[in-house]
Amino acid sequence: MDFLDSPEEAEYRAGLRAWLERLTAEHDGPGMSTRDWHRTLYDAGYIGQTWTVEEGGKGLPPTYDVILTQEVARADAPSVPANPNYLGRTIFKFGTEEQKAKFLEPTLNGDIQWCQGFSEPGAGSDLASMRTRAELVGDEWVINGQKLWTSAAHESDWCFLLARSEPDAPRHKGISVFLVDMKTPGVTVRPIRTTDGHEHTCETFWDDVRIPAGNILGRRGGGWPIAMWALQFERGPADLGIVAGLLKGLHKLDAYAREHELDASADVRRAIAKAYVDIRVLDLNSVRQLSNRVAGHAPGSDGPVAKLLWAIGAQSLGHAWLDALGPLALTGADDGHAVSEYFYSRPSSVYGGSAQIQRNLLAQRFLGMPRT
Amino acid sequence: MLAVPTPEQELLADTVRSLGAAVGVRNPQDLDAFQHEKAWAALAGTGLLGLRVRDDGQPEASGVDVMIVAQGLGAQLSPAPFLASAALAIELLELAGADRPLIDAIAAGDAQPGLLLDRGLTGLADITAGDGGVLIGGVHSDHALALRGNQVVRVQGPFGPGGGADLTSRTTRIAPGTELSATGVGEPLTPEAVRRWTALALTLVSADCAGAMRAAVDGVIEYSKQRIAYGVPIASFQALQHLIADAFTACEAAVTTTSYAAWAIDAAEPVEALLAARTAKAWVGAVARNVVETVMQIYGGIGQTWEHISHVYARRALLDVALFGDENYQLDQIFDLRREVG
Ligand SMILES: Cc1cc2nc3c(=O)[nH]c(=O)nc-3n(C[C@H](O)[C@H](O)[C@H](O)COP(=O)(O)OP(=O)(O)OC[C@H]3O[C@@H](n4cnc5c(N)ncnc54)[C@H](O)[C@@H]3O)c2cc1C
Repeated sequence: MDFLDSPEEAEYRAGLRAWLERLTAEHDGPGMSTRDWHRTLYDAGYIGQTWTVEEGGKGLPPTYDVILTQEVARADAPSVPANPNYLGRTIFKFGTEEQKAKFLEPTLNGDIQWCQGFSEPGAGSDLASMRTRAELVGDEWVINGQKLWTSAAHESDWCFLLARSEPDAPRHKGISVFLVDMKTPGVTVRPIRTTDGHEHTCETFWDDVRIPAGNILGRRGGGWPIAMWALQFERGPADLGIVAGLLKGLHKLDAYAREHELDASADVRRAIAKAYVDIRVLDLNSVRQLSNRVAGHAPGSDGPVAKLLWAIGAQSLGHAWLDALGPLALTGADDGHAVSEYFYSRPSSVYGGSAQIQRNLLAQRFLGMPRT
Repeated sequence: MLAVPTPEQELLADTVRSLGAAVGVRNPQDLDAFQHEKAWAALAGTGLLGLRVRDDGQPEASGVDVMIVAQGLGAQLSPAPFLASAALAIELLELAGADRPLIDAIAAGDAQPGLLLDRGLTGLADITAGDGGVLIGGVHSDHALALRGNQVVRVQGPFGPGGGADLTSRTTRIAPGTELSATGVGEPLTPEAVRRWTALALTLVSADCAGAMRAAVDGVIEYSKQRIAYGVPIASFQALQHLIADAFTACEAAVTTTSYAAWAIDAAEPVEALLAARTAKAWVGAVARNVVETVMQIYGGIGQTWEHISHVYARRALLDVALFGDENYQLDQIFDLRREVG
């Protein structure tokens, strides 16, 4: 067992660190827009680095993405974009040659920002009960319905959309994946304000949205396994730079505590240290899980374990903000930042499969416990 | 021994409930439209503002009565500052032996003082320290009550706009070093009076939080029976049943400890009343965050939105937990109080 970098990894890390330092000095890196940052990482060869050469990547082991997220967090730069890994790979695996030619490059370089249109008002945990319809009329798919929690839809170019195309087929067999340009007439996006006061996610309405017949991904009614395949990538924390974001948040909290001299209090010190422990656990767990992938072991229960630890780490940080600032936070001395961070952490046990769903999966699918 | 509310107390709870929309909010949008003057008039009209007014040295209503009102208003997420500006303000003025007109004006709804707490929110601010403080309940008024040593003082406002985590009860920060114009009211408080007042404060905040928690839990129980996933109500999943059962138990215990503390306000020695109140507050402080988080979790995605009521409950509970000291603060005090009680 070796938690240290191999000589190659160490070299990669050093190069990356130097690059990030130069960038921060030159560009004020953290100040970049999501799109510019994505492009910058891409131009430097860091996006898609762990894709196979055949997929258009460099074929590096997934541990290199861990190093990438670690170093990006250390440099206090914005998170590594998540889309390319989980949606890009899905398009590569299931797309036609034409689709790959059209979508892969812009997905990698950041020209296309994707949103994920899975959940609906009546279909969250039970995603397969979705009702949004897609009907083939001539050479077009006509989409009608409503999606909820289409995160970043208001800032996205395309949507990776699930809709029911085979109304008579069994639930899981009637769903297809559609790639939809968000500028298509009939798509309406309404941002939703979450409890942290920000608008990260949206409601989207689909009224007679007509898209070319060729924009179906995979075969008709074959959407469910594709969605599950994509979610599997969404759920690995390393793929999403979650750890990086949390570490960044922790540094910010620590800096606040130091600046405002809160850290003389034992309670404050413990709150921050506790968040460190929980985030570090997530971090190391993702290193271990990815090492297992490199060693050729199947993912097994890794997905639910990672998602549960992710929520623990994120929510521990939220608690630390509240506990460290205490009355300062509750009376708005910090302009509401801590309370906002706290509320921002809460949905981490809801989205991407709730904590309850992860526990069900773990117990029933991987630990051999019977369903009731 | 018969630790249940009397028929009159049941009636009082009904009265508070029946005020409904006039004093409470059902969803966050109600907050913008909330009419403070109307709400205050409604509370004055039903006589609730003057519950702690003394008649011949005896309060018009018992600690249990005020606790019931505080719990009811907490359950309705009332933005009306009943607790700070009526019950606790009057209690403080009565204990200090302030002039009748001052007290009667509050009971009639004509005066609405805030309370100036220390910056840690652990108790009334002592303005001799020049340390500023946090105003609660006084966003709509031009004066507040505080201490100068053990002398109750009336601090003249205005104090600036309110803010903070709780959307139903705004706080205003007064910066350290702020020049405060204050005049003494009544006689200096005895240590015993300070204890009695603190016991009432802790009890009412605990009651407010217990009411809010219980209402939040009731709401999500209803929702869980309606919301369908996998063809059944989510309430049929044992994982959720257990979460709700635990949250419910925490609420029941909060009501129990708060009820005893409320009874002790008038019926027990000050030291026992204070220990009872700190015990209630310690329990509430220990469970509240977990309860409101559980509620948000069971609502799923919808519970994470600004438009949904669950964060309004959560925010109120978070402030209540901190007011007059959180769990750790109470535990430190309880350790010593226990030995004193013997
Ligand atoms: C901020 C945010 C961003 C999101 N982003 C996206 C996005 O980009 N794209 C997208 O498609 N979706 C997104 N989602 C949706 C998310 O995946 C759903 O909210 C989630 O799947 C839960 O669904 P629901 O909200 O309908 O809750 P429900 O499914 O109604 O669940 C309600 C409660 O019931 C519990 N529950 C449900 N089934 C079971 C069971 N079998 N056993 C035990 N408990 C159960 C849940 O854990 C939860 O506590 C986002 C959600 C949020 C809050």
